[in-house]
Order: sequence, then structure tokens, then C-alpha cells
Amino acid sequence: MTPGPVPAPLDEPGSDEPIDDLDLAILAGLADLYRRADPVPAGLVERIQFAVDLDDLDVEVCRLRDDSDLVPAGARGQEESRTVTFDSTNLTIMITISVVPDDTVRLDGWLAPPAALRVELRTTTGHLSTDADERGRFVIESVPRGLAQLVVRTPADGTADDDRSVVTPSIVM
Amino acid sequence: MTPQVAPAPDDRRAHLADLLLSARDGSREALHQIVAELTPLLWHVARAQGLDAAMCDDVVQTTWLSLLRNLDQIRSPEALRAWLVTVVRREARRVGGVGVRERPVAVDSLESVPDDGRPFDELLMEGERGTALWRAVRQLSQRCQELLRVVAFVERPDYESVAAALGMPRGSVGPTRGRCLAKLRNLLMSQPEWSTT
Repeated sequence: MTPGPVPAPLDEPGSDEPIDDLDLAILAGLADLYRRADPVPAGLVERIQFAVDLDDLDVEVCRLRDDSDLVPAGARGQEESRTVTFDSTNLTIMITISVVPDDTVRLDGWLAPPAALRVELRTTTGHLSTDADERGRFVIESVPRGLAQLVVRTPADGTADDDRSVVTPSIVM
Repeated sequence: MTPQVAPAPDDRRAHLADLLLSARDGSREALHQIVAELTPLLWHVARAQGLDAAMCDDVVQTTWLSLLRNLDQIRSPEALRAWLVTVVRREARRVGGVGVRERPVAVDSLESVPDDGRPFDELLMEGERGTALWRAVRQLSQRCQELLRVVAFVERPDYESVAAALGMPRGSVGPTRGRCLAKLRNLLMSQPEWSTT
């Protein structure tokens, strides 16, 4: 029996075996398996495309908090209301989303720390905006069901870090 | 003469480079195309971290949003991939670190998976070769499974982004990939569905 090839030094990128046709076939087979077994969820690409369609790209991302009662962005069943929290470095946005009898959605929100900021809701049919009061509360009514994304305009008179808009991921109302 | 490079990956690279340039100039259409093109890679990087589908959905979207304000500093397709893959993995770890790894997948999100009427398991195991490949992959270490899963979604293994994805020094991706592939080949060759070719 002949000994195998001496292992190449780990720090030389070119030192590995070139990929041959069988390797490529295996990798293609793997990609195919994973595509079938675990496909990118339907609509995810569209939800992202909606979310990145912002006028101003200099935004800070407000992440969905882990314990939010939401399957993020996925269409979800029968609940009449649910509460979702988003966190960014300097701002927390909590919203309660309720379906009202005319089949639109009402959104009750709180900003923390409390601040009277401009709040915009981007929907697939246009923008709805309002101002939070000094306690950080805001209400947006008659929201069409479907994709939406919150954009909170933070004041432009602060430091460079403060004058960014804060945006949430798109979620399905 | 310079060595010939296979045309397909080169074309694809050029295509992505063009899209990146347009997106940085403000083209939404170009940005949309980049999202469509690279989301599958990011999805599989996130899923390879062991998060459930709902969490990965969020992690992938957050990653794209985070890209926006960094877009004008990213100059090449390789840098773009590396940046995205690094961030998606970091986001996945941030979420996964809290310990909520098994949030149940909503029923309707399963229903939204394209369905041609066959049971999920059957779809997964379609074809004897597919079955054999799946059996073999499951015998690899977690590390190898993760690496090969990610490599499979980079057309021509792009070591920089794969290294970033897996938190490995760049130079060790090639050899590690080689070892993982070699193990997988050995496992496959012991199965009749693959050894006959």
C-alpha cells in the first residue's frame, strides 16, 4: 500500500486538490438536495426586495426581538392581535397589530425611550405616517393587510449617529 | 498564455459586478436582482447554523437591510459575498446564542412551500442517488456538513466568502473542503447507486 499524499500546508490557498468533475457532480447533487429539503421560503425574496426599497439607504436596522409573538414576515393564521418588538442600538419600537372588523389593521405603537418622532409605515400601496406623542405613543389606522415596514425618522440635529432613520424588517400585517 | 478560466463563473462574476455598480448608483432593479441572486446562499448559511426556518427568515432579511448603508463601500462581487456571508452568520449566532433554537415553524409557512402533491419526505429522497447522497452526508461531521452545504451554493468555490461564512482562516478552507469532499466520496463509493458510474 502506498501512503497517501502528504497533507498540504494549511495556509496555502492553492495547495488543495483541484476540484474534479465528480466533486462538481457531488456538489451539484448536494445543492439540489438542500434546495428540495430546505427551500428558501416562498415570498422571502419579495419581502426583502420590498424592505430594501428605501429612499434613504443610510438607515439603522431595528431587529425583531426574539420573543416577539410573530413568525417574522411569514403569513400567519388566525390571531386577532399580536405584539411585536424591534430593537436597535438607541431605539426600541413595540407595536400591537390588531385586525379590525373592516379587515384593515390597526397599529398601536410605543417608542422607547419616549420621543415625539415621525413614524412612517411603508405598505405596498403607499406610505402612512404619523407623529408619536411625547410619551412615544402612536397609532396608525386603516392599514391594508399585507407587507409593511416601519421607518422612524430620528432628529437631524443630533450627532452623526443620531440622524439616521431606523427601519424594521418587513412584516406581514 | 494565461490559463483559461471556465466562462460561466466568469460571466456570472461580471454580471454581479455590473449589478453591484448599478446598485451603488442607486438602481433599485439592480439591488433587487442581487437580492434574488444571493438570498439562497444566505439562507443556507443561516440554516447551516441550526436555526429554525422562522428565525432564518428574519436573520436573512436583517442582513440585507444592514447592507444598505455599507453598500457604497463594497467594491467587488467577492467582497459583497464575503460581507453578506459574514454578517448573516454573525446575525444567526446572535439569535441562536439566546437559546431559542427550536421555535416551531408555523403550519402555514410549511404550506407555502411549493408542493406538487407528494409527501415532503418523498420529495427529499427523490431518486436513488439523492437518497444515497443524503445518507452519506448525514454521516459526516457537523463541520463538514456545514462547509459542504455552503460551498454547494457558491458556484465556483469562493474561498474568501466560504471562509468568512465558517469563521475559518482563508487558507484552510481549500484543504478542509478537500478532506470533507474526500470523505463524502468514500462514503458514496461504498453505495451501489454511486459506485456504478
